Amino acid sequence: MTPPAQSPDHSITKKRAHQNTKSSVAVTGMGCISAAGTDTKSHWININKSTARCSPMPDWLFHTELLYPVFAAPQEPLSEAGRDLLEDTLPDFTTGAMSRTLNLAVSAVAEALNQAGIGLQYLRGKKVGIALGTTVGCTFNNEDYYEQWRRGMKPDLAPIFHYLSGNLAQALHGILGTHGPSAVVTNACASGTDAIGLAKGWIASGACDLAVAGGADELSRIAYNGFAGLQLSDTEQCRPFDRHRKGLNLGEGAGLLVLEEEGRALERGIPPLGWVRGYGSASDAWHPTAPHPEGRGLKCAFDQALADAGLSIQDVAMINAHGTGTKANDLAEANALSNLLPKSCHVAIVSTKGMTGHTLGAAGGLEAIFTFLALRQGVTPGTHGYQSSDPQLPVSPIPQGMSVLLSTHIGMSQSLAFGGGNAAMVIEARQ
Amino acid sequence: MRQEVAVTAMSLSTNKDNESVPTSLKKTLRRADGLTAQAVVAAAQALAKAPLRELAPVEVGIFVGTAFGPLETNFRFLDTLLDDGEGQASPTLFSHSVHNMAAGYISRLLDLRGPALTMTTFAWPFLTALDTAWQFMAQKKVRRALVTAVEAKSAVLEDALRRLGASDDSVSVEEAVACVLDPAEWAPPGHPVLQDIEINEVPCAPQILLTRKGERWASQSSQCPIGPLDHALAIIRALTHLRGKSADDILTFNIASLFGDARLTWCTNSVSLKEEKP
Repeated sequence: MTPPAQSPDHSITKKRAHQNTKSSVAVTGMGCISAAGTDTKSHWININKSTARCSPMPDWLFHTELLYPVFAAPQEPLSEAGRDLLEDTLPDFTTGAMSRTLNLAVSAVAEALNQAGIGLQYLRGKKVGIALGTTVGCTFNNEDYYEQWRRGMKPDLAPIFHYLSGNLAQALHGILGTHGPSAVVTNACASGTDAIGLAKGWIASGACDLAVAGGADELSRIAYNGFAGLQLSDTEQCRPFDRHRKGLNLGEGAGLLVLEEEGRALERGIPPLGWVRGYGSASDAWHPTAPHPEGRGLKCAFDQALADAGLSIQDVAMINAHGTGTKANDLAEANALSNLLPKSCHVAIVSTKGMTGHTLGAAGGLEAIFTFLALRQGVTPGTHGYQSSDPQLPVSPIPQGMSVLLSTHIGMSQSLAFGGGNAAMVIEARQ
Repeated sequence: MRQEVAVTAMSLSTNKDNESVPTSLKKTLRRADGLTAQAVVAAAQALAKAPLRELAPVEVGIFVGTAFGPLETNFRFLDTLLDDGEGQASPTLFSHSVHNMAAGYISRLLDLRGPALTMTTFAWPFLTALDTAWQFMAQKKVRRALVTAVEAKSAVLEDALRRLGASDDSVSVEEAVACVLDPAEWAPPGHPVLQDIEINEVPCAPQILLTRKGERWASQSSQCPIGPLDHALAIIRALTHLRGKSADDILTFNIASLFGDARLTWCTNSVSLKEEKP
């Protein structure tokens, strides 16, 4: 049974109404799909109920003898909204002709556009930016083709063409029939957050009228074995920040936002759901795969995001942490947060990877949406999988089974990546 | 109107045999693949040529553009998975198959701690990275940007190219190009100042993105060559040779292809702009 929401002892934090700062852009639509749900509504229900769908690798994805569980999205990755969108735009489509990553992205974009009240006709009359983060979705992973090729055979080139057609941003432009800036950000696990930050810049500079931004990624045998080889995966369900955490579980999904200049949304009679107010990105310059132990780059990205938003940490009610469940990530992140958060300021910290697994390039998009959902409701559920505090971590997230009333409508979402990348964004939900 | 930025240094690395890797970097790059090594060398050389400025590590951003990324490293990882079986695949190869590993190495070895973004696109990766870097500078997120475009040879793609009828001399390249973007007022005379970048991609037959059939570039200047482009780095490689050789005030490079068109416009700052104190 979930205990009632508690008001934190820091609820005296002053509420600050939205100020339409130069760099702040409105969010008018959100769409997501993952193991935790097929749309934003089901995600919010499942996250609150703490109903996680972590399972052994489904055979319909690929067979494995390894015992690391995963968070798989539905076997049919195309939601009803996604199918409706494709029927309008590509009546002859077959889901198999598109990568699973692209199917997931289409599901998310369809929901986001519906929520934003944007139809195809309107969309095609605008300059539309598409910025998507991904990892698996940008490379050639067709094992059958490669195995035949290395045996000296001449396999049919169809998988190569499939790969060349699969640039996510261009493929979405093609499906939507839109034109405008296009970017696939491949910053490993920070890709989704960086893609939103990039699109925020497009809107602020007038490079496009509206933008679709976030991330999408599918489970792949290559990444699954890669993380196993790095000994970063847990054979049990992941436990972010928990004393007994042993690693991450991979997941898959997509999380996309519709961003636009607030005035345009209001002209359509659509009030914003909130705003992406700040974005920051910085590097550890430390190690190929391990984060800086004190979170050097993360602190910098965090400060930049707050400065971009014109806010201070006292304005922030919650942080959706990267919180993968690996020893190194959670320690580095906790150290960074400990240094960033004044002693008198008790920001609610959560990780949602216990509900979705680590969705790599999609994580930043999904977690931005989860942050919005919590801020809009004024309450955040705790961290699924976090039950016993780790004395080595200087900060503690909200535990599983607890929920906390939020003192402001402003939160942050942050991502850390292989290669030492860090990205953070400041989000405000409309009151 | 975006902030005026100048290309103050450029470098091309084609170290097929890793000969151009400086001794000081060789040890740290021993696990890096060719793609990362070349990107680091080009970036280090470009930065060494750039005007001296006292900049904090966080004030310099890294923007990498690539069409195919570390594809060959991905295949080498797959080799270990197919040959050795599950649980035995190489973790080092896996970590180096991630597209932003080159940016991570550049950041670490050159101690640059600003944003490091990798953009993957088949069409014009260099222009995409350049445009993103310019945006970050205009938004004051960085004071200097190191833009790198890099590709590695892939036997799988070369085979596909040949089967698509490409000639032997237009198979995939293995090189990196890096340039440094600074505020225009920092640039000595003769350096190009960016005026505009336009990128318009359109749907096309997928094989065109590999063969780049029909891609051509042109400029209004008689001193600039006109001709076909046959790989993702061709445009920026050509630009490295052109810099400072034109007497024209404004140069516009138009690229036309079956997958869209792009335009890069710069002016040459022929007069010494007011020096900003570092």
